[in-house]
Amino acid sequence: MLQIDSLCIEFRQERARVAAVRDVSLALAPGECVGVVGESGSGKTQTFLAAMGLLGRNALVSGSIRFEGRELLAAATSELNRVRGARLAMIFQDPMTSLTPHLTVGVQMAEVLVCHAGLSWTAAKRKALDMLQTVRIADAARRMRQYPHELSGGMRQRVMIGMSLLCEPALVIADEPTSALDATIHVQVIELLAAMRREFRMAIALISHDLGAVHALADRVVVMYAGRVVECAPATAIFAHPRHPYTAELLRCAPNLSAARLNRMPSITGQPPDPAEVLPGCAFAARCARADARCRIERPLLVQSGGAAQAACHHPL
Amino acid sequence: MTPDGVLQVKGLSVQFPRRTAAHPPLMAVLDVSFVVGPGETLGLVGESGSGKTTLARAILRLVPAASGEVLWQGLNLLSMDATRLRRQRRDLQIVFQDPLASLDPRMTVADILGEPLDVHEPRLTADARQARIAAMLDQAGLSAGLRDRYPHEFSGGQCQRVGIARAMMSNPKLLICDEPVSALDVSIRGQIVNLLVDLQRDRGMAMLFISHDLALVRHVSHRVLVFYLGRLIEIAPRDSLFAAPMHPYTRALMAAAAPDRPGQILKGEPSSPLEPPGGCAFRDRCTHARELCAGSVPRLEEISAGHFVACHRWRELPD
Repeated sequence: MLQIDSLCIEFRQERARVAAVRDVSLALAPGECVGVVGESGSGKTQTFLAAMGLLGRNALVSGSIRFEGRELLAAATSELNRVRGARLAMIFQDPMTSLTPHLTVGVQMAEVLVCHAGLSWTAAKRKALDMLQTVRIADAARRMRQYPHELSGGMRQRVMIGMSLLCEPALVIADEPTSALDATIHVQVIELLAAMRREFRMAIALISHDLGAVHALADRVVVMYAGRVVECAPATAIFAHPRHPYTAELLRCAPNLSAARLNRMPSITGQPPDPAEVLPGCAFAARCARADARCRIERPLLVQSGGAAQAACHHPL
Repeated sequence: MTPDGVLQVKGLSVQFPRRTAAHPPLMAVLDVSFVVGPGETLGLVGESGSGKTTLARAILRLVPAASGEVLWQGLNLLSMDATRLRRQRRDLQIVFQDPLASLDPRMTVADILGEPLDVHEPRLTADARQARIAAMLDQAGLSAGLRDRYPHEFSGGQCQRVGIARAMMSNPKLLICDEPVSALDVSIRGQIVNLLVDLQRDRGMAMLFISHDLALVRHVSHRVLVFYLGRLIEIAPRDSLFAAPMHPYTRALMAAAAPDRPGQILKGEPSSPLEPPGGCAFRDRCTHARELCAGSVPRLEEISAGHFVACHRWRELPD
């Protein structure tokens, strides 16, 4: 359904070109939930912003993104506009800045249906009200008439989720949907996403640095590091037996209240490489305990690594 | 009691006025009392908007308090004149959440670390000043070659190291850390937390460690204080709190952070601090709430050694 092939994204800057995404290929099947994890700057958000046609103007893109048989990278804005919001929707991290502040919740939700489904305003508002109830907003009729600033963070994120589902999209891209929320609200939103997935059967690309959220929702996990996919495996496999040392280290660093308290807090030494640098070998080599001379010269390719897992590592676990 | 390095907060309240006098002020912190002992780390958890940062700022007098006392080594910081307060601030430092925004973009790292020395130790010779900066860079895990660089040239983790180094320049006895790692990637957080823990051990300073991350608070704290809508609802030694959380809100927080722990997912969201419910502030989300909970604000009661909880119904709660 969504097929990304050899995607490269570079950003032109004053003096240099900075590569954010380097040769990324991945696919989503209908109804599948794929978790995309990695640190900030790993390229996980840019990959999906490219699919939405939302990259900055200084971006240089190559490769291909096909969605329901359509090439999105070559699509004209008018064609993209028919897809975006209807078949392909996005939920952003910050529910305050991604809702329009000067329109009521009801108007901005109904507008989606007026534009994409050709409904009348009356019919659209009725459907928007139904949707607010579906995403379990109490007192939905009153909320329809309110502005985003009058809602709490958790409620705004429910509105965002409801809005993304109005046209029953085939794919929802959720970019850090819970990162701006408090712990007790966070759990509610994850539960809501799981319930909506059962009801609407859409595919989800869940972009997150929160392994707990990914664990709760994803069927498959893609791990990105320095603009590349370093591991891709079924969720159960990746949490039980990570193949790439970076994945293993990420899991080790994830805060875990269920595990015993450690004397030293786990971390990965060093920092991710500067995206302006071109490294010949594995980008993780400088921080990796398993790295040898080969890792610093020869970049490992993403290959089959036991079962359905793929890893880009010369020395997988 | 005026021992060295003890912070006593007594009945501290902070309120923010509303635009019109017709509305009652927003009570950001309400009648909060606790003690931080020398060398101790007190963790402070609560959701955003619960008043954690306001409490930290009120202790340092970065926002005015409405009532109460903040006693530092027996002296009330809230009634002190500016000159004497400045002398005390040498002992009391803070590390902020946003590592880049809390550094002056036009100052080099050496300037940033030198400024506290210029303020608190103006008679230091130039050589001694340079030596102190070099030693601190080393302790904070920053290479000496970075001293003439500007904050924008650094990663988030490095900026936070600079922020910590700046706070440590005056050898504080109490360091307030306000969400010091929540802006950083998971793989970097441990580096910064371990740096803070090492500095604390080497210098014997106390810490007030604010975070919404329970696993992190468990890692660094000796005792933990739980905040809800500006009120202290539970305070206990670390092991006691994590083994046997008592307040229904604390239990829900733990269930949210560790899905395999018993406890239920909370319905609803915190009330607006503009219109908190009367009585117990948590009662509208609490499955154990009864009429009694609306009637009066629960007082802190000691339920085991050093473990205090503010809940009318703690005796009847399931284990």
